[in-house]
Amino acid sequence: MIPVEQYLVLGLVLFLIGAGGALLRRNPVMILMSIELMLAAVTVNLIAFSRMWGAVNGQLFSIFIMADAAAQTALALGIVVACKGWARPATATRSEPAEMADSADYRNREQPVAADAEEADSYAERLQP
Amino acid sequence: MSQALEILKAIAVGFLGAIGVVAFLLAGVIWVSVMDRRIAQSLGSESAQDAINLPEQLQRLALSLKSYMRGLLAQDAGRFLPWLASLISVAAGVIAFASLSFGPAVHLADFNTGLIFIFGAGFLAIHGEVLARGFSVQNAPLAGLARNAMRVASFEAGAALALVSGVILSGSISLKQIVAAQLDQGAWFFFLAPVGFLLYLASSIAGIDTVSRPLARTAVECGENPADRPGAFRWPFGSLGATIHLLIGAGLATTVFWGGWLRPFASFRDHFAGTPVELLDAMPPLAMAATAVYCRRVASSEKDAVRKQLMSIASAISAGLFVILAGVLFAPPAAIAAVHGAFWFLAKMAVYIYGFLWLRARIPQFRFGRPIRAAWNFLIPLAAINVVAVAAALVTRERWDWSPALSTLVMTAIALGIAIWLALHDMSQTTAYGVEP
Amino acid sequence: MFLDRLLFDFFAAIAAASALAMVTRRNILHAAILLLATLLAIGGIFLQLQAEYAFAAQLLLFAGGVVLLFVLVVMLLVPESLRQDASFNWKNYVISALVLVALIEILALVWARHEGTIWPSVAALPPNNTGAMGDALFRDDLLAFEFASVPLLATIIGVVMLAKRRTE
Repeated sequence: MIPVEQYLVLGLVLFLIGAGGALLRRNPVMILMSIELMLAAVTVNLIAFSRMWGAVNGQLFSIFIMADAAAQTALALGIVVACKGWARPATATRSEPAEMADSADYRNREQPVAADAEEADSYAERLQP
Repeated sequence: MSQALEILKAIAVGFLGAIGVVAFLLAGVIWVSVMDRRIAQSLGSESAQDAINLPEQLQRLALSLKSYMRGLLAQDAGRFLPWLASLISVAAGVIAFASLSFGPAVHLADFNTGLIFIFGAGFLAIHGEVLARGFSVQNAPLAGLARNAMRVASFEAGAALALVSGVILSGSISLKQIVAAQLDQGAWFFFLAPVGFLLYLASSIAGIDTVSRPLARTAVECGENPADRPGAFRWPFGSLGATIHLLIGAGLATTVFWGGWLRPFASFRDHFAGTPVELLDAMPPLAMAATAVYCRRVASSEKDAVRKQLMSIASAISAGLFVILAGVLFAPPAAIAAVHGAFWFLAKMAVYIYGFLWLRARIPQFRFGRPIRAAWNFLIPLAAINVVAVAAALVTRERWDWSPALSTLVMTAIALGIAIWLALHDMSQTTAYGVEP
Repeated sequence: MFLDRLLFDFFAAIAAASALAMVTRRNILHAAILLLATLLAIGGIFLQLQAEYAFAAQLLLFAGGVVLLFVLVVMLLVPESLRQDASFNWKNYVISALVLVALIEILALVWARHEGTIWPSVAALPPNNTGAMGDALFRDDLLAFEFASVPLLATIIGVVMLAKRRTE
């Protein structure tokens, strides 16, 4: 059997890496990812404790943490996207920039089915202010 | 020394199991695509005029495997990353398939949270698809990809809610215990939760629709040599992922609604006079013998050399299966249960897949907005109502001693009534919006 | 026993290495994949601790839901220029070094104070503890379970408000 301390050390290492990332990185998406890493590190500890006491309560807490993490990510990413003004979808590249039209990648890109293209354009139009 | 042996054994079992699963999945994919072609052909659809037969299918698979390997060997990141990403989706399919159990003791990974695990693996597969597409073509029309992911996710939600009826009836999320509960209660959950099964079928047809269509397209559309197009290898492997998705969906439906490895009338036990052989256990070998004879007769009258050879191979395989299935009848009961269980499981899966493809070929393909709206306005609410109805039926059975047939009938009628009301409501809403043509 | 040891070391090494690579990566998309690798390795450790339900939930919620959200947002919305981002917030360097030292100090303190205590050895959870999880969730700790839905509801409302504001 692996002693419990080793799980705790693993949790601490992951938590510290996550904390370092959250403090040091500038990109908001990277900060959010580091926070997810910290939450995951905490669940390692909780589940090790759950095993240690032979009870399922630790697992219960970890489930709650996961649910919260998922909710928090959805909301935080939404706020980041809204604040940074990234709301325009990547379909904007459809307007065929001149330098792209020549590159091999662009020529060989997947040809969308006609209905798809028309629909995506209308989608892009609707999203543009 | 024993430790080394232990590790070697674990590695060997895992490795052999993985190889077996991959081989089985590849065979299943070829079978599905040939079957899909044949169904499209029988419908006389225009795109199916150039029939793709088995050798050509094999050739295409080999071609895609070759370009896949080329991606593996390529040094530059432009090829390696999409290869890795498409590996994620195939690997997720393999681990999900490995956690299905084909018999009372025939399984690779015995999870007691199998149902959730398989859905988690499904999400991993979506990851693979998204990343593979995003990496290989920088300016790919990602909106279409996002719509596909959204579509798969919403219908997966519907399918998950439909499967919850099986969880309620059995009180477990372990696939083995769900099957055991069906044996205990003496009825497949298809009969106790028919609405749940229909919802599952509908959501899987609608969810997989656009994703796996490319498999049915002709070789012309992917160019003369798919390997030459940059990033083209993910075309066959994208649809390979979708087909594996279909196979796993069939496995789940078989397990939860069709009694898994149980044979029909599993609680009916009657022996041949004077022998320990059960009456109904004689059915699989007899069916196989009939198939062998039929294939042999077709092969003798067939003109086309390739088809003739294929039919005789099929006949030989069924004859071999007949020998195995009949021989095992005289083995200990555990062996009978294992071999026949696997036979019934695969047979039910095949029936489900055939029905799935048959239905899908007859349902017109809708554009994006409509199925998604149908999912959120109709399928998911109905699935939620069905969960409540199944639970209510369970309560009436346990507390008020209603008979299973009565409670199921009443609750199914209520759920269907609400479904009709929802559909009418949805239709009136659609015209009110005036969005759809 | 030896296999246990081997598996733990394997998963722990993968988790730590990919976590470290994640926070130092320049490309956000690569970082998201490394986060996925970390979470999968942590899932392997859950499985080793016989927390099968937590493992499946981790796969579904963290690996499936959260990382998929990151990947989709980065691919669809984050402009190309911002996907390669090597900028570090060097002003925070001092702060984070202090935080790190403080955390390690806490650990050392705890370790020192409990020098004599022996950690209780790992008790055997019943191998089939998913049923126990169900009992705990829906009977013993029902109130906590219900309260967990409050942040979820708040999230739904918040996301709907954000989406509404954008389309208007």
